[in-house]
Amino acid sequence: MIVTIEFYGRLRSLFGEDRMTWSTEQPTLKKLYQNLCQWRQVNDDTSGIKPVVNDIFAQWKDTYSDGDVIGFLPPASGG
Amino acid sequence: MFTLSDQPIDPRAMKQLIVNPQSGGFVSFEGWVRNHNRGQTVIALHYSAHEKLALQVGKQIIEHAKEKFEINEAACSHRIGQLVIGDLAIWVGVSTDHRQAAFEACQYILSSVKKDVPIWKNEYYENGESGWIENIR
Repeated sequence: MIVTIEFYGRLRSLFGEDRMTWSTEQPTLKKLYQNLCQWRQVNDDTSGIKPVVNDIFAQWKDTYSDGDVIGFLPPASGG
Repeated sequence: MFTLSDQPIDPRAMKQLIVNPQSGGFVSFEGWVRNHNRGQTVIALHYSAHEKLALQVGKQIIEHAKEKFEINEAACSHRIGQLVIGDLAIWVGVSTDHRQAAFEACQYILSSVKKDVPIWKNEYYENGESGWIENIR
């Protein structure tokens, strides 16, 4: 599957990317995130991070489809 | 009403959106960019957002506040983009019949926006470094 990955907030600095195309066979969002962490050799702790698929909040156990846009949102820090 | 703005927020224009004849109380909060944080001298900051979800979550917070408190109108606007010291980063305003609900609802909206709306702050310091901030949940 080919998906688009979007990083937000501090994850942009952590992964060194804002948005990128990614080829993956990982079955769930959590596996996908862990795979990305392995790629960048960063901590794969998901606490506080929310996954988003096509601009809709999702669950870590959710699957995804070819062509999806998958975002990873760290804890908010507005105000 | 919840908005994101890449232009300066006009508090008087925001107030005009929510004052009305039935309201005897009005409470607002203005959050400004300050020149220090956690022992560092701050010179600027940048707010980024997941704009679609930020607008969606922000709207839900305003709607929930209207259900939870006895308020007439409520509005919030949050800046995105590059800001400097003294800039207005967030404005929250509530109009009510009576004062207590206005204070409580304003506090509720502000706290909820800081905690739940997908907006992120990157601070720039005098020493040339920068740092992402995460609000304490």
